[in-house]
Amino acid sequence: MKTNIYAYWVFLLFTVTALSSCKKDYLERNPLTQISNDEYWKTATDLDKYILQFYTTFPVIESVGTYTGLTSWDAVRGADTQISGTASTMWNGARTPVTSGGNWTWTDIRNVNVFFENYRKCKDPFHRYQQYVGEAHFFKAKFYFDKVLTYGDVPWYNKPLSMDSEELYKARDSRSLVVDSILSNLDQAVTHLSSLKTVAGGSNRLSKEAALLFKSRVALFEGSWQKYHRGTEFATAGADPNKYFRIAKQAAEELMKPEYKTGIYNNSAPNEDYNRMFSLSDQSANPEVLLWKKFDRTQNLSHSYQIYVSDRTAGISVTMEQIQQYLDKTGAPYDYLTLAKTVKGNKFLTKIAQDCDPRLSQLIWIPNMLMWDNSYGKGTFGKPFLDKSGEYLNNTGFQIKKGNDPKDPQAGSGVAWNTNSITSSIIFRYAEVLLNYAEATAELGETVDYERSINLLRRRSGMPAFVANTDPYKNRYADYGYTISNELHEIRRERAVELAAEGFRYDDLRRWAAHKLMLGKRPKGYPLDQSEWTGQKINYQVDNDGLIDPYVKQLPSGYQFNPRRDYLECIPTNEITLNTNLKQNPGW
Amino acid sequence: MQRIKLRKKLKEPGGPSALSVALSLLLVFFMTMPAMAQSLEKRLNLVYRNTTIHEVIVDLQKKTGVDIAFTEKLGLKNRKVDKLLIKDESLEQVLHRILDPLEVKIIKGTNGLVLIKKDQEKAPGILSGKVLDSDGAGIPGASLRLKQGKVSAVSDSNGAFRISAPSAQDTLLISYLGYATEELAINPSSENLNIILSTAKANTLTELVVVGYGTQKKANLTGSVEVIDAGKLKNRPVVNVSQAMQGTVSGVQFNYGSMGYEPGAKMGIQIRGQGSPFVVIDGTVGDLNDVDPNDIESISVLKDAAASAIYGARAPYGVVLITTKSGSLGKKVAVNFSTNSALSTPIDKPHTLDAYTFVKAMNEMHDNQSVARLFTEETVDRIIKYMKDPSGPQTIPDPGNPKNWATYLLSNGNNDWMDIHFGNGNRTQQNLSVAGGGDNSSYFISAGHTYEKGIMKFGKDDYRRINLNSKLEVKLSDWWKFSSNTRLVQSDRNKPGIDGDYALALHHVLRTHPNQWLVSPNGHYSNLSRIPAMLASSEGTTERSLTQRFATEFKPLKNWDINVDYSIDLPYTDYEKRYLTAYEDRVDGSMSAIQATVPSYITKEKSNTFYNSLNVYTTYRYDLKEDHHFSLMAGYQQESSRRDLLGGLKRELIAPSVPSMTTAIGEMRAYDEMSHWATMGYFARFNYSYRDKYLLEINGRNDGTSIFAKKKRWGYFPSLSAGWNLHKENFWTRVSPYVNTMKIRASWGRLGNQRVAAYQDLPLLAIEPSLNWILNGGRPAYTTGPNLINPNLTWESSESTDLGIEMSFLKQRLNFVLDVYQRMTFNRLGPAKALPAVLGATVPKENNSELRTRGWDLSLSWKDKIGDFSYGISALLSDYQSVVTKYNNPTGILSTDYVGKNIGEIWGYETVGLIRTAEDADRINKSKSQSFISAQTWRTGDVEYRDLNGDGKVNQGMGTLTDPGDRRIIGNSTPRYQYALNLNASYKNFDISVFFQGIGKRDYWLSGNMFWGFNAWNQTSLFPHHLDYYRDTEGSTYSGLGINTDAYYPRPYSDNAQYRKNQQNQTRYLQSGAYIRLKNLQLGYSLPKTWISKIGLQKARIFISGENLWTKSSITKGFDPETASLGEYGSGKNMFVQAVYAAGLNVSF
Repeated sequence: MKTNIYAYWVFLLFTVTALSSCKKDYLERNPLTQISNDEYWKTATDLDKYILQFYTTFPVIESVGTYTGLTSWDAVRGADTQISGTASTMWNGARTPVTSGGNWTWTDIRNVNVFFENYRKCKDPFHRYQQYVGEAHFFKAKFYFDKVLTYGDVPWYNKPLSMDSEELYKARDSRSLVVDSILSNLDQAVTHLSSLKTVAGGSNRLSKEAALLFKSRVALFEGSWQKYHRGTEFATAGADPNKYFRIAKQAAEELMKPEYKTGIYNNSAPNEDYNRMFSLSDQSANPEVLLWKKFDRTQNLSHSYQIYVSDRTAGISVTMEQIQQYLDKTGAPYDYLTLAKTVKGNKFLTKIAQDCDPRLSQLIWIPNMLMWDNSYGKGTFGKPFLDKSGEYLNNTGFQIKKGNDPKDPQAGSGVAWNTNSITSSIIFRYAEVLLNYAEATAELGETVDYERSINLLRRRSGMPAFVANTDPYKNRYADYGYTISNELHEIRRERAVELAAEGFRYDDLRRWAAHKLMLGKRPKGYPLDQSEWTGQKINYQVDNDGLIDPYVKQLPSGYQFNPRRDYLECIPTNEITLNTNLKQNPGW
Repeated sequence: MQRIKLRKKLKEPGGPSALSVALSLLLVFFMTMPAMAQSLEKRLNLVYRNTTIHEVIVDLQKKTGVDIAFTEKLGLKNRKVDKLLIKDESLEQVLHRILDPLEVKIIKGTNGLVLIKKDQEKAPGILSGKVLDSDGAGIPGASLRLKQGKVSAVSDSNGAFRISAPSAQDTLLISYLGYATEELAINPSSENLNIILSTAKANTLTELVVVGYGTQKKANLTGSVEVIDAGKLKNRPVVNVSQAMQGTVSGVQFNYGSMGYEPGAKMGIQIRGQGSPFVVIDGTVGDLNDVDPNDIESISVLKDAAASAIYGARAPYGVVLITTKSGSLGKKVAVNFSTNSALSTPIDKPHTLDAYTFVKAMNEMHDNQSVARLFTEETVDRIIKYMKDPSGPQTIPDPGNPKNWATYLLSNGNNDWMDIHFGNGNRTQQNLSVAGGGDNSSYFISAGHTYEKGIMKFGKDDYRRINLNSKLEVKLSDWWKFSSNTRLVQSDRNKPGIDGDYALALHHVLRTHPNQWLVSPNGHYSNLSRIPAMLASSEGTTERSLTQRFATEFKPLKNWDINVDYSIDLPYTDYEKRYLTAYEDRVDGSMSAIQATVPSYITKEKSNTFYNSLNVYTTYRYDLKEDHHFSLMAGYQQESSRRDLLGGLKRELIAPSVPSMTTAIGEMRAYDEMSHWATMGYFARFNYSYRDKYLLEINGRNDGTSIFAKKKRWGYFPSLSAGWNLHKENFWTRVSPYVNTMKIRASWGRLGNQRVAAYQDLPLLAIEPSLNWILNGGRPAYTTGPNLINPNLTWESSESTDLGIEMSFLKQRLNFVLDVYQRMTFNRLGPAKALPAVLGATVPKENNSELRTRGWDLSLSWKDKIGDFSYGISALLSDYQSVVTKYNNPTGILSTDYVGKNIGEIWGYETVGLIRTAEDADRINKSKSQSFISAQTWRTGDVEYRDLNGDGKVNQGMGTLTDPGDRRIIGNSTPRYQYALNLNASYKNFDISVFFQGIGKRDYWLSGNMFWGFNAWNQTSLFPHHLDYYRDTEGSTYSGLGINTDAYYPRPYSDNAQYRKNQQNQTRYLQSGAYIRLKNLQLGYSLPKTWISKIGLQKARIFISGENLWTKSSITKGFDPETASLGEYGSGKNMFVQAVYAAGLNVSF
């Protein structure tokens, strides 16, 4: 047994080695590539990096609509002015209750509340991070406005909730309260944000100007909503529409002051300026654009816009309802339907392009226009893509061109999966403020200063000054089911023209309670000239006016919008099961 | 001391043989022939007084070290000696002096002397021969014993033996650790016996089974442990262990990953429906699929908590212990070589429709939708023309863009994309091993190579693995052993890098329309064929793992072992994607870059891990008299791991032939990922056995992990198990002729689960590299909101009880094992209580629910030998079901779990059928009974759902358990009644094995274009069986296929808002995943010894082997019951199941 003495020694050695390596903190392993909340929020940079995440929530080219983003957003959501191959469920009454999801996601609101809960920990002087506080206020307002747009009344939260918060089970706050809170946040944003002249990042970053624009948008929406839905379940009892119109007007007037860096993109080319602005890949020198998203292929951030306003259509078409909004070049209402009885097809397109507001021929393709002139060769527009389908489809004859630049290297690319376009995506532009101002002022019954507002837009496109016409054709395309003044009619018409295919129409129709425009009706196309299609089979029927009736089979009785339900979305039924204090929207 | 004990055993018939086997093994080490010769010559000087001859011989044996075997029948205990004087005499002389008068003869055996009575020695036969293993190599140290003669011997270093047979008619028992004991009848003419021991050991209860931190006799196991015979894994033309293991263990499920049968596919393993088991290879944590199946000695699967409790929280879902082959002391060099080559071919590969039928069906779909037809008459005419004369062009210049070829809707080819892209694959495997040992050391060295080429015809799609394994064991002294084990494995997986994703490549190919052109009139592949991108780009992953283990074992005292081992594992992963610009031609013949492949880029990721683990454990055995056996084991383990990944990307490669970061000039990005963790555990095991009849085992482990917060870090996990060997009871003798053995065992154990994401107790902000927004010319880094945390997060624990019964019948030829178990999972981490979405964050997991799994595993085997014909049948059958027994869901909402939910439940509507008449459609539209599902107009050929609750509406009610509307549980996706059947037989030199495997019951809800065929226009995949869709209009030249109102599939639509109305989860389209499959068939022929010995071979066997040769299943075409629900881009979009045909050779010398 003598040898075994060594065994004990060896064992002892191993044991000592083993035990010495089991340090007390052996099991303490902190994260190596993540930062805990307690260690964050120390510097202005921390606040900057945190707030940046919200910039991607703006609807832009690659995030909404079809391949053309905002340009097709109205068709996807549902409007009279734009359609896709299949009728939108928004307007045909074919919507069904949802059990979960929808827009009822609260991550962004929580995350912005996290900012408010933590930013005071920052050790830097306030002026170093004031911009980010302003941005937080702006984004909170934006996120809540999105909720109000979809659901009306929503619960307001001032702090991030925890799993045992009683507020999880609170009832909805009235939309007036929520909108007032949004406006108050926007006031804070205006106070803290830098102006466009000084903000680091220029018009790629939020500014006082952007916040003022957004404030006028929110207030105008709420004023119109409360006014035109008054007496229905959608309005708030006792709400004062004029209060909001006044706020909208004030915010817009503030921004119209010369101290702000704003303007209109006008290179004195009335037949091009309007379209060219949307085709630019860089808006930093454009005073009209208050916020935009930049794309850069070397940064791996690009989309496929140009191909879908040249070689293809993204399946989206403009309707006759949109076209009829355009005045003639003298500023007088134009009788499109009478013209359509005799002049059809390409000739119709060419004729209206000659006669009407130049913005019309900058919105849609007119025969013989140059579509692309680049390495893919030269392409001109022959006639609308009525014989095609899918992402090539045009089913009205009015085919979207807005934003096309024939010289763009991607225009006309017939290559599939081309995502190399870097056309900018405009988020806020000054033109909207002028239209908001005019509408809010007119709604208040006050005098509109057209020279400082709408006439700036008209002048860019070579149109005469604003006149409150008596429009003999307005019932064809603007029968809201209630009477409005000629002036307001003209302002709304101007809005539809200037902001065509920018994603405004859907919300405008809702705030104006404009379901009469579509209920029981079908959107129409241009007067079809069968002789242009001999040998090519196209499936379209025409109506009594000779206009293409693209939805005649899909919607035999027209749109079946439910005015007592469809103005607001269904709150996911699971949420009502989980929180019995949450009441469902009307009709759902 | 040891030798005396041996003799004692000899004197008592019966008794556990394992011990004597072990001891005779020791004898070989201690006593060699020259030593004995010396001892016999050694001169002795001794005096004995007042003793017996028995005691004299015992003492002489002690003093000389010579083994002297004799039986009590000689009556030496009664022969008294008053005085015996030995002066300068040899042992032999002394023995002759005292034994000759007693008529006792002394025979020199191989390893000692044997004493026998002279008058019994009618035919003083000496039997000689060789003990060989199945490869023909001699087995040294095998123990030989005559049943009646009570004589024993041990084979020498070459496996040769000599044994004296006192009686001419007797039975020779030959046993060796790890081999089945052989019985051989001997007679006077027996000579030069060659005894081959087989490793097939299923019938022997004496075999040792590898368990956690030790081995245990199978007879004494109290937990549920199943051993996989390595023979079943051999010579299968599969590329890794997991594929080979499928169907070899009862109660273990195997499933393919999302890519199906891709090259090198690793199968996921679940023991009893739980998560993946903890895999230990030769004492070190490892990946099952990193082992060459040829190197495996045995696999133990520890199925219940009692068996795996010693691994505590690392093994919440059972353990797989792999023991690789080793050399052994004093064993001659044995070289084994095996190889096989195989051809693989997809089974049930669907075919694309011909282009004309396809475009007519697509146009009909668009007619249904009242939208423009997809294919113009002009295009259809061109397709018809091309199909009549395929020598013409497959496309035309794009009318809208005449410089480019028209694609998609304007193309007029007729291509079967399945045939174009999927062909045959091949596989090959080689393994060479050398094993042996000298006096103090043994070794095993092996090298293996495996290669599989996938069935994709274009682009790289293959897998290669190289295994190098060496094991060295050194005996430094009687009490100290040292061993070293080095394993190196490298695998390379190459995939086509199309659109940066292999799964996407499949998705694209499966939805390419038949009219799409393959080759342009200029003779170049189209972009939409995906071929240019597949050929240009590639994606390769190299995984390399170097594992080194040092282990040492001390024996300070006879029954005391101390083991210390230290292992390092260095897994390394190297990923590289080359995304190169691909080109297609334009009409003028110039080549233009495919836009999606611009800019080109190269991305690389390298990750290093340093893992190390230390185990110190000690075992002490204590026997109280003959009956009580105690064993106590206690130990400590710590392990830690740190992973560091460095990755980068650079765009715009200058020259595709030199793809590197240095030769790229565009945007550059670098990133890293680091993580680390550590665990610590103290464990102990206590075993008690009373005469191997009553068995008790207690395990305990205290585990700590870095995963949890400081105060929640440690958990204690005990287990208790007991067994009763009924056949050892006296009363059993009446039953034993019928039921040879019977054991009942019961176990209970609690296990923890630390396999949860780390840092869930910390609110962390993720730092993301590049915002989807450009600011000041760059994409800034940004952070996202901190996660919501649950500071109370702690161990999920489970309690398992297992009742097992093991029986053998008919001379142990029929074996039966049944286990019934229940597993309760407490503090289960799962989707937490459903909270209102206004919370705005993912609700952190909580330890708030409970799950109960109940199931049973059955295995039945039969093995017999009739003359030269031996055969065996084994059958496995198992089943389990899991039910949620506690869940915080007071409203009973169906979107999360609820109490009473069977895991795998599929909720859906009951289908009435397709709407057959316009009246029925009107009724549904007028009553708006189905308007919840879709407010679109319902038409003939659409699905009618049953209004189960009779409220006139088909809907989901409140979506709760109490108000589920018209949905009910229509099926369950849990695989039930999993079975396997293995038949094998051999006759003389021929052998055959047939292996079936299947699932008795399983439901699948399949979705997407592979199932429905029709989808949005560019997502449609039409195969011939999809043509059985509802049609009620006559077909024309340009649209429609004619009336088919008695269809299986509903009326197709091209728009989601329309087709979703017919694609609700429902009974009509629920699929059965039940199947039976001929998984493997193998035929072998061993070349006669007389031939091969001339060229120096011990053994040579040639074989043919086939995988997946036959399947029976009722699942819809285009899907395989094993992989139907898989696919990152939708059900069934994974690599086709393949049949494999192989031929191979095994040689040993």
